[in-house]
Amino acid sequence: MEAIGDAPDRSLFERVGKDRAGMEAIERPNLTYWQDAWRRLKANRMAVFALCVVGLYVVMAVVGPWMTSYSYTATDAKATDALPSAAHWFGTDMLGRDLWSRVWMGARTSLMIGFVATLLNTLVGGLIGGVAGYYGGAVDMVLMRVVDVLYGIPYIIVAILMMVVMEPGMGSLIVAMVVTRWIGMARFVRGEVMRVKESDFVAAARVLGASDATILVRHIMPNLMGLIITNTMMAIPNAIFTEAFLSFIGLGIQPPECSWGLLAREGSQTLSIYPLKLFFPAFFISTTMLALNLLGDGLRDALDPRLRGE
Amino acid sequence: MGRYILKRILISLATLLVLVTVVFALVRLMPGDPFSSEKMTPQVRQNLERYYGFDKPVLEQYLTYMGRLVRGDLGYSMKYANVTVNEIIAKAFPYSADLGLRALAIAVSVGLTLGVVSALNRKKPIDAVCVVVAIIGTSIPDFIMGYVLQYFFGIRWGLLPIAQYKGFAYTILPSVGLGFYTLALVSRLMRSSMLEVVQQDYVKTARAKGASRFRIVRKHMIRNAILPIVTVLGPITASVLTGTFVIESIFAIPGMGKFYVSSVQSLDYTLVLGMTVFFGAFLVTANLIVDVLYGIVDPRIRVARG
Amino acid sequence: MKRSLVVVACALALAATGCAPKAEKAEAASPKVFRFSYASDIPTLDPQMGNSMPSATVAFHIFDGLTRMDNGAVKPGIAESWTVSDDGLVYVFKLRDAKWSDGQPIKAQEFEYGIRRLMDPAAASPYSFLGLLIENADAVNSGKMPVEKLGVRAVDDKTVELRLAYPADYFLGMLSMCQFCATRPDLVERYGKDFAATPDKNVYDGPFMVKEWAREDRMILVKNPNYWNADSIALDEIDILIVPDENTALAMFDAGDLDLVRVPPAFVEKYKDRVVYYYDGSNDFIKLNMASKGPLSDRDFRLALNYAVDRQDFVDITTKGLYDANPRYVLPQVAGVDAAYGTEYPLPGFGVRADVAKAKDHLAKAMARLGVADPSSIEIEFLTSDTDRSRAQAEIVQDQWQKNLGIKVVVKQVPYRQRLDMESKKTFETVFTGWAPDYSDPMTYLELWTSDSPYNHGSYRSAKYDEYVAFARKSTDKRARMDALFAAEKELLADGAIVPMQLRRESLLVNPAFTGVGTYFIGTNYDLVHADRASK
Repeated sequence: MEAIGDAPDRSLFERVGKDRAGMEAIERPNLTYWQDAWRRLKANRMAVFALCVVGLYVVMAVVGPWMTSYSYTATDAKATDALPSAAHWFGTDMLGRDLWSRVWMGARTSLMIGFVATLLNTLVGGLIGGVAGYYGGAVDMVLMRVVDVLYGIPYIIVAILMMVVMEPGMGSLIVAMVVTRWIGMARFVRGEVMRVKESDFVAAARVLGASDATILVRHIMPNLMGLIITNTMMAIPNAIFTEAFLSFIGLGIQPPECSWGLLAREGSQTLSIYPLKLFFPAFFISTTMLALNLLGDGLRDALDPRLRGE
Repeated sequence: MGRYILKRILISLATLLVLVTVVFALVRLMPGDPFSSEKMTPQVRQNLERYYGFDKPVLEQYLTYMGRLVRGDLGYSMKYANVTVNEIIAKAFPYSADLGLRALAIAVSVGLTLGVVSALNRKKPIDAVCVVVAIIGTSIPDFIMGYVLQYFFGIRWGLLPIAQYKGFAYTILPSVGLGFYTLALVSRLMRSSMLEVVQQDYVKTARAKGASRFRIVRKHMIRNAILPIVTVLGPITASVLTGTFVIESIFAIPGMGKFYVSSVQSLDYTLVLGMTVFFGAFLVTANLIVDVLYGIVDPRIRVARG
Repeated sequence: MKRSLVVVACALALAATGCAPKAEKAEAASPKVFRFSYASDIPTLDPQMGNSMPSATVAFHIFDGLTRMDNGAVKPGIAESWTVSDDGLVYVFKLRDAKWSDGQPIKAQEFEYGIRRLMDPAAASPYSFLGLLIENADAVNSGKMPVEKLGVRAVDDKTVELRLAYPADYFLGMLSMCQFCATRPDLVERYGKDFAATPDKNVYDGPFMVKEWAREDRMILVKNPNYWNADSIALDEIDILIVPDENTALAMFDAGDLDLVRVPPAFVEKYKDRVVYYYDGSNDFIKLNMASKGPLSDRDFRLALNYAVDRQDFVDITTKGLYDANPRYVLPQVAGVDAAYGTEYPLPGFGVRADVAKAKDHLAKAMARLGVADPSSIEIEFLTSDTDRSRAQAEIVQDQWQKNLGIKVVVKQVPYRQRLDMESKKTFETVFTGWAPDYSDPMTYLELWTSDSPYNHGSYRSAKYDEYVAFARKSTDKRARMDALFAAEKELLADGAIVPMQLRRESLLVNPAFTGVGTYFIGTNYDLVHADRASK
């Protein structure tokens, strides 16, 4: 571009041109959505504390049983229903087995079932519910009727059939839970998608020519992330309790394995004479849930796109 | 509206038909049969199979069953000899319904209030209290809750009856035990949902227009925030009325949960199917109502009148 | 908006005014009411259809057989007297003038009808095998002969004649069970499938009659004024409440809502000064499937399993020592010739303690024969059902076998019906199971293991054993018969056909205000016929 009019001495100037790199440069480090969420989560002291508790339990589930010399399966006729002592830190159960190692072996089962089953439920239910809610109409109608049929099948039957098809144990339990329990999440997500899809930003995206998949995954889902995560966190105790109930009617973990739900169930049988046997599993179940709830809250805030950069 | 509902009813009936067929098949895939007992001989088994028509082809059994079902006859139970499934449901359901409704009323009224109060007072002590209540509720399995309530209020302090269901005092512990989890769930969902709604434009608009705080909360926030709760309440209603096995056992209440679990355990084919039909009908009706409620509750959804 | 409030308000109103099912009037109306509980409802009160202990217990109180069991002794019931032929095959009963609860006289034809109904394949009684000792019963039950050919006959209105296929001393006691009771043909015809479904759809000839029956809730029995021995009955009413949870039932007893309760083993220590014990007859053992592919076909291996369990530890741990460790097979309390079988024929069996040396010895022999070098390469499956107690039992046996033998034991816990199905289809290796006696004689346990027995799920085959049992079936010499049964029991144990485990000794708390509350192990759990409440 040539200058017009009297030109100053060009030698005094030097052409800068466009700093194409500088134009786009961002002063502070660029954060992805997830990095930003993580940063905000770290700022939430309660959530960090909760994360530590969950982390601690996971670690203890791995190393806990080895911290004592008593195996979680070794019975002892002379030390049944013992109170906590230097030998048995949490006391013993009705068969004289060390409760400390059983609590942490139970943690393995319960945490595994809680996390895996719930995660699968959320994935399956979220996907199906999302599709049903987004497309509406006939797709929604058919999917929701399938949900109705599945919901109507007694889940004890499903659990029993799974035990026949697969080997009874954690695997068949998780599959049975996913087969029957994704429905709640699907219904929930469907309702939310139906609500959000009418929003302006969805309309805007559609006008801009975004594909259905893009709208669903990039625009609608992030907005529901908070609710879905809260709901998922609430569903973890549900999965753990379902396992306890199934164990109660004999469809749970196979002996000699144990779970928190099972320990709590055993403890509740003798609540009036050995309250501690209920206290320990109940304490760990409750604190885990507390931690998961606080973590869920923290994640809800951290993942909300509208709160980004705050 | 009328046509919409009619169409929904027809589809619900089709759903039920599929459900019954699927469960009819599944129940027979279960290992074992209703006649198994420690003292069963092949001869006795054969007599029993003939008596219950199990010697006929499965398709014929299915058609016979469906034929009776259409006439509203759910058949005779196998475990409870000489009693029809209709009679069992007619006797047991009032107990479960009564218990379930009380539990739901407590859960929804207290849960919603806690959720709203805690969302409006975010980060204040009252919020913390509400959150703690909600967490306790979702952290304790129903059987522990049941035993603990029974132990302290019934056995230790003798304030309320230990078990059975014969008057108002008897209903308190089981309905609290049953409703506590739902209460906590409702309050947490409501809190989340309210926090979501607080930031919506229509709330800001209403505020800008000078609406009173109470009016904003009542008319704009709660009404929109309640939607996710309505969605989960459908299945919760069904599960509160069906999944009360544990509470019913602890408090010795002759409701549906007990029959439901024991029918599956004893492979009482007709009772399992009868219960499934009943709950299925219940569920599709609940869902129908939820869908219609959506139209009433959500200000943006209106079913076309016509 | 308003509508949503209305919806919530409606829900609240519905709940508040709620349709609470109407409850009974206060208990005060009857002066002498005895209350106890069962964990689940009485399955049926149709006398020929009963096949469970709760059904039998109620039937014991509302029906009267030709005979009546009274604390193990056979007493006259509706039959005043009887004669037995010398060959022990023909029984003739003379009926007394007794009435049904509706005032009609009890006739011999009604006994004939009831017993025919038990064996009639069209009626499909699940407990018909009980009557197989009656002449032609097998052929009738399998439809090869008409019911009229059954060995029961009403000679006249007051005389019943019964013919047996083989002699059986225990038959008189058996006749007290409701399956052999008089049944009214007019009522069965009138009500069809609904017969005995509700209290008004049957009549009663026992000490009590059913007044009210709410399924899975409660059953109320009241004194039957038409019972022939009504003057001897002190109680006015028996309330049977259904309380599924045993902790709840115990709490209700403590609160004075029940007069009799079964104490869970964990609580026995707490109440040990007040509980009364009784054997309910159940005998728990581990069935071994000798036809399975594994090492169980080897006699030494089975004996190793037998010596490797510590039965005393087992009962001490799972039941706090409440149940009896059982080193032999037959319940010692059943009748022998002149006294209890166990007293007349003592047997140390496998001992109550584990004998690890003997177990290892047998295991070594078995391994040599099976060509196995390392015990840990032997894996057996232990099948059990789905209750809390079965889980604990399985865990103990698993622990003991693994520890004492070094083999691997995999527990498989399945629903109860599936376990029974797997037993009858013989798709198990070892299974924790049991047997409750039907009559007071060792035969009730020993007839299970003959080669042709439908209950021989372990495929035990022993010509010697079959011979002993067959001899006992035919013999009319009581001593020789009992000797043969004892020989059969010893043979069974020597072959290690089963692993006997425990005899259930239950503990009960009974309200001290009541006297004469009896317990028994056959035909009824509780006997309240002589129960009375000390006047206050």
